[in-house]
Amino acid sequence: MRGSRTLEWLARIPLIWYLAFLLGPLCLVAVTSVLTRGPYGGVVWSGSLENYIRAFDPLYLKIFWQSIWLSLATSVLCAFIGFPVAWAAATAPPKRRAMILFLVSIPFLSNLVIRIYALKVLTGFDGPLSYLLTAFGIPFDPFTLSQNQTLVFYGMATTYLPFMVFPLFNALERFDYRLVYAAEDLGATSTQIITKVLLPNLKRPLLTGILLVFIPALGEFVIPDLLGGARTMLAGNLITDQFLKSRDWPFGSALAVLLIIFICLFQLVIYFADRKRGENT
Amino acid sequence: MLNIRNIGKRFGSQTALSGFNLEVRDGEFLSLLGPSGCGKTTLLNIIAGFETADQGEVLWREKRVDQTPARLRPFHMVFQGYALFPHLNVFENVAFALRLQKLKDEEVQKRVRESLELVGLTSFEKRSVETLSGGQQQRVAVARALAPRPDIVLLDEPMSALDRQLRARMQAELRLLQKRLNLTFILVTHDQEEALSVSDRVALLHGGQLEQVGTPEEIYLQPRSSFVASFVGARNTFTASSVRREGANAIVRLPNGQELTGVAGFDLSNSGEVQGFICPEHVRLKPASASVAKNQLKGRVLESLFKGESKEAWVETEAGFPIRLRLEQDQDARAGDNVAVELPSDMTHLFSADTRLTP
Repeated sequence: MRGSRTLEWLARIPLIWYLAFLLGPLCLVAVTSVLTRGPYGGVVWSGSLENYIRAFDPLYLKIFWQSIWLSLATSVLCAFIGFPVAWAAATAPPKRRAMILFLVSIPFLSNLVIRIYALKVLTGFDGPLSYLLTAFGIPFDPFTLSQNQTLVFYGMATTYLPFMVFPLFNALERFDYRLVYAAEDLGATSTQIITKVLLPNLKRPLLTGILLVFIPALGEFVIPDLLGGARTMLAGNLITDQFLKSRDWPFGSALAVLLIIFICLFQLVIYFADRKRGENT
Repeated sequence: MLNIRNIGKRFGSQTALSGFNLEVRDGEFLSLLGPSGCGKTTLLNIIAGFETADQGEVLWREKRVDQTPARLRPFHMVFQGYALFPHLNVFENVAFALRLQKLKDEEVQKRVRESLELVGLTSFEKRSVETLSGGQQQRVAVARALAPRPDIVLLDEPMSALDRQLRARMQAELRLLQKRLNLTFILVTHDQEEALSVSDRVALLHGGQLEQVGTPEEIYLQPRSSFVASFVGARNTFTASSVRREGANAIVRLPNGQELTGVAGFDLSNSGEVQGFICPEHVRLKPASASVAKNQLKGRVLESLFKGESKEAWVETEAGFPIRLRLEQDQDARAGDNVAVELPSDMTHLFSADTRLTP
């Protein structure tokens, strides 16, 4: 009995460690967000809610809205690409399955910045893509080819795809495929099999995947910075810029707190929606 | 009438079915029986439409259905493990096909009630299928297959997950249900007892081919091949050498030189090794006597076994092989007793000890 008591306490040490280093900085950010910016950066210890009021300026709201939209679009695109990939992996024989999963995890094997830079070079002004297009005489606008939101979208989708594929693969691996046969036997078309059997049974892993893509995508600043150029300002860039360029820590903190609150609300909404639908069936 | 004509199916280098022919009559309960890998599940999947045959055709009421997608065939399946939809309750599981047919709500209600009534699950409509017991889940699966009013119900080892007693009850229920609805049922099973007790006819499959088809009595009492004789029942086997044929019978020589008469198999020739089969309940125990009567073997009781509903004994015969036999209620056999066993010629089946593998 005493042994298990000790173990219990030992197990709490990493938990305490984790909470301290997660909540500590968060508290620091929360406190900073109600302070005032000093004349040369840094903070002045005088509290005000001015930072929060400023955050609701239409200029910043538009940036937030754009980020949310882009992150949602990324999650949905990842779901559309990720589902067939996860399905292929889950139903493949072991050798091919390992191959597919390896290919999916390639983004994890190289550094994000390097990969995004490679994409930037590939599509840049004097990059191979524009060279090829010119060589074949295909007319194009160099400005729409590089440095735009579509490119950011593409970069985000490729980066976050594994976060969608793995939870889906996990669920599909344990999925009872006889349900598909049963549905077909009872008269369901391929579309009906997807909408009436697959999606209702895979709702949870799909939501997990969407959350896993949506949340980091919302805070993403490297990809929009490198691929979006000056025209694409997202929440992540906005916050980073406050800390690194404008040296306005309190305002950056306030924006960060708002982002965290939004993400928590988003999760809560999904959680309750899921629970309510669970009760109905 | 369902006609299965010359069906062949290969999976890579493996032949699942070859040149398979079978007729399923309207309103009959037919079992596809065989060891694992005999092709019975493949055949069921071809009938259902989940597999496409490499050759041959499937005809339902004179029309080819083997090119029809599974969802359009009037056959519905009760799956192994049931494959109930976990996200739907009992009612919606049974209503699944009816909703797809876009039937009116009242009609759906009526038909689901009907189906659930048939399987005795009326008060379970709102229950989640995951909270049901194995037997209840099976009933839901049967109700789900019946609700769209199929022409044929296909059952893929539906009882394999149930314990012995429940299985016996579900077999009886299925049989009664099938007779009451006068529907065609095709059951896949590897359990011979199940096949014999529920079916009008049993089709025994072996190595992708039809070994024998007939009533349970025919399959059990008149095996047409050594495979059938060895697979169905728990027969005694012995080897002998062929002597001569006498009409439907054959006379063979046992290892001790004694002659024995039995029913001649189709493949029995005048020379070569013979494999003989006889069921324990057909062997008669006789008192030992000096002279040896026809088809009697002298022997000594090795052991007697009490098996609850019956008693059995092992007898080591002079012919060099042991015989297991069922004792009558008033009979007794003690180890060491000198006895004689009679193998009635009409119950002794003789086949050429051929190259085909027996399980």
